[in-house]
Amino acid sequence: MIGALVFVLALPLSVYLIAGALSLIDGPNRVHALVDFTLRLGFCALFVALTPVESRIWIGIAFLIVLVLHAATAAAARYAIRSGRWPTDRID
Amino acid sequence: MQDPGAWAIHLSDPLCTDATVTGGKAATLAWLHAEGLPVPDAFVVPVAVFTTHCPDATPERRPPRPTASPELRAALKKVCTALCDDPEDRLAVRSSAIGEDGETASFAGAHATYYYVDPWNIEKSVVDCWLSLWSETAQAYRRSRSSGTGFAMAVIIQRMVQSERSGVCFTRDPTGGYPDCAVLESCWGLGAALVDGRVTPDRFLLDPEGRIAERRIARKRLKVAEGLRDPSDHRLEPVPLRLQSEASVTDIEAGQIVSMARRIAGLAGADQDMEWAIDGDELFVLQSRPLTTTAPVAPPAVDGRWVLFKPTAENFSEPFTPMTVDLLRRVLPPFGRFIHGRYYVNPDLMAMLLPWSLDDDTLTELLMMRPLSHDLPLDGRRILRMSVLLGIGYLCAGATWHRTARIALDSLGAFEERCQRVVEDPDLDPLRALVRLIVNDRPFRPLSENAVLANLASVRYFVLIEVLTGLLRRFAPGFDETKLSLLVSGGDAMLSQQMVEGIRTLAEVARSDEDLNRALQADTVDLQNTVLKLGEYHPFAIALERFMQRFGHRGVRELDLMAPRWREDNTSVLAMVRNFLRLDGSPRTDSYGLRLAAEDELHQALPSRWQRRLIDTLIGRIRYYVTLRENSRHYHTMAFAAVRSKLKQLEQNLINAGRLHCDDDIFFLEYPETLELAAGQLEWLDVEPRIRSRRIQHQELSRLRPPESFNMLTHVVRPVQEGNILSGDCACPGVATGTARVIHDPTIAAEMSNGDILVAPYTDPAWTPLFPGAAAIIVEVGSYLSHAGTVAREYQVPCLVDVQDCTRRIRSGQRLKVNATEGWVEIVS
Repeated sequence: MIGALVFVLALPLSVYLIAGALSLIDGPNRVHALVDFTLRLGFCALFVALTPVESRIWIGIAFLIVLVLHAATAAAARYAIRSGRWPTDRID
Repeated sequence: MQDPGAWAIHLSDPLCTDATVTGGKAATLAWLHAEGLPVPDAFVVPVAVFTTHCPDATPERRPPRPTASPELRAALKKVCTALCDDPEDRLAVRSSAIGEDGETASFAGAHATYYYVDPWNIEKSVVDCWLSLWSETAQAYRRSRSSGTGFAMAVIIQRMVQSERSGVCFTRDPTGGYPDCAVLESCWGLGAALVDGRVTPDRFLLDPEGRIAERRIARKRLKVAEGLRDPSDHRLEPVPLRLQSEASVTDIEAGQIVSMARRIAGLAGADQDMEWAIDGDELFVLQSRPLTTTAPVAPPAVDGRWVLFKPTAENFSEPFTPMTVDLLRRVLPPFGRFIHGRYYVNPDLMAMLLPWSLDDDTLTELLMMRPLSHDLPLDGRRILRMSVLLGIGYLCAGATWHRTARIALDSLGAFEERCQRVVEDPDLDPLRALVRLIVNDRPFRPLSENAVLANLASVRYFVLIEVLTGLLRRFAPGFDETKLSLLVSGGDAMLSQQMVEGIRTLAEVARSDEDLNRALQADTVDLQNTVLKLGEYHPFAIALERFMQRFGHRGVRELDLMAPRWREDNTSVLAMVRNFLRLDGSPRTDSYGLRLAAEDELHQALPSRWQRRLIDTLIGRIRYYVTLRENSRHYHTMAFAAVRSKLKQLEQNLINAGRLHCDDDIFFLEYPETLELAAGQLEWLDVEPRIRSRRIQHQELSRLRPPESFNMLTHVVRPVQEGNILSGDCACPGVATGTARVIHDPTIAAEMSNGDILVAPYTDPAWTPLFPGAAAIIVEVGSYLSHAGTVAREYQVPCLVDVQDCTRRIRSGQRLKVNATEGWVEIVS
């Protein structure tokens, strides 16, 4: 039960962490982005620390799932556009 | 057929009025001639000559090309001698088929017409005219009408009028909008450019008493030269800049033309579609036929349910050109569909992301971004479905969503560099350039290089403004909600406002030079030449260059790839400077001071510190998203400018290779067709009819109001605007009284004075310089977040949007009373 709860909570936290990491490339204020990312990292570390050891595996699983889903979405969109499978219909 | 007279009949011959002998068009011209109307002198080669030369012709079977008989040659020689006094004189050779220009079928544009024909080469044109009976267009037209008329053609040989100005006149509005008014369309040079859809004509509406009810002056960049000697020459030539935005006929001439058309209608007993031309001061009737298209074009048969996508519909009233549609459809996600050049979204897909149970009426109103008059009932199942879908979306792309929450406004400048790199990269074709600039197909690219995502991020605005309104009702119930628009207006970081300041600076520089000030304000001045003559070191030229570096990628109707950018054609900017000079340009109200006062009032109304802090944070975020939305538009139009420059390069290559002949024709092709042209798989003759028909269709669609939805069970029609009161949605509250100025194109001399009420069909950045001096703004389409609303709030000018038919119902000079807060405008007198 706790594992499930940890998993559900870890999903948005993973998105939040990945967003923080990607924000590092967004600029222009890199220092601000680094501080922000460090805070998010700290928040995640706190979450991990407060999670029972036997449930921590769910945090890792959640993080991996989010990472894979993001990568797959980006790859699918890129493929759809480049292969011409994207076009919007039209009526003249 | 041995009598030479029977091979060519003069227009004054009574036989000529018999449509079975000379075809529909020639018979009408002969009848007009007999009635004393000014028809250019002409002879007609009768139908019998056609049947002699093509005895076995049927609609299905095209005969081999006939050779002119010696009798016909002799007759044509006589005709030429009679019509041409000078060896330099030229002739027009025009079709006059059986049934042409009749009450049931006009065959308009279906058969061939040849202008500026050398008299000694006339046989070829006559035979070509006959053969146009089997042209693709004529066959298709015949199939669609199945009128059962005879199948034969006479040919009119007419003295060529040197049309300095020409056009068409309908004695009744063919779109059905104003059944009592006559419509006059006119352009410079020969009317072929108008009929081909290459020129947007000036348009006049004249009421039954002959008074001008409406006058729309268009930018007429091209014309078919009136003095063309060699028909193989480029037919189209640029109109001198001074004349482009000038009315091609005076009000008096418009009255004369309409009166002539009405006279013909009276004689014929039916409404007429008359073609006319002016040579010097002389008016000629070139053609007249019964009006065959009096009903609006029926909406296309469309499967599925669709609602117009307001954010594109509110920026310009015309449909997208075929090239823009073809390229955009390759990069837009398949949540919508282009119908007749306009983008529609799938409402069912959108409804899945909403927590309410909605009927079609409410859903359409919501998607049209109109405020609702009733609360929406929440639906538990829909809330669950929405949560699941949004949850999945969040897990798949939530990181990007988070990243867009804090894009630094000044970081979007990186997109400008990216556009520059794309323009300079010779390996990128227009489509790849568009993909690279519009679609974020690489997750490891800084968001500041993707202006479209920045635009999408600003939808948070809708949620935040609802939260803010709810909290204020709870925390400070006595606070005047109309001041919310003032509190959330964006401030100095908004690029649209900076653009107005740029125009103001240009106007101030111009004002400091007395000669330039006077020249720019003159009505007939050629603005571009006036500025060119200043030289590059004149302060105005330097200021203009600086303005162009920042805003030169923008333009009127800038979301369409065909729209020229300001740096290509600075006439629009100069016209805005002129409008600013005439309006004296000073803002009507100190919106900054008003905003500070409203903030003070709000703080006093909020009892606790944490409430003030919460509300201030919310207001700050809303201001940020409003500014982000407006600014991101500034940047993503750079992508359109970059793709346009690639297309223009491609077009130039095709023109050099002789595969395209005319400026901007490329925008009426589809992208694969341009590639086939470039590869030599298609030639000019293959694409010319496509371009022509698409241009005509584009012109026709531009005149129509697009349906708001397809296949939606909508019962509630927008309130019918009857009487003297028109209703709309409030984009900036306030009350004003003033004189109406209906302006259809901001780049044409606006004739606005400070304190006038601006009435516009839509708004984009080119309209902005008119805002500060306006007492109020009324816009036909638009929403709270449209350009008109956003900028009006910056200047605290009362603004009503979505006021249906306002540009038709309100006329310049009428006295108006506007109550934007309550959403109505009254025509006082």
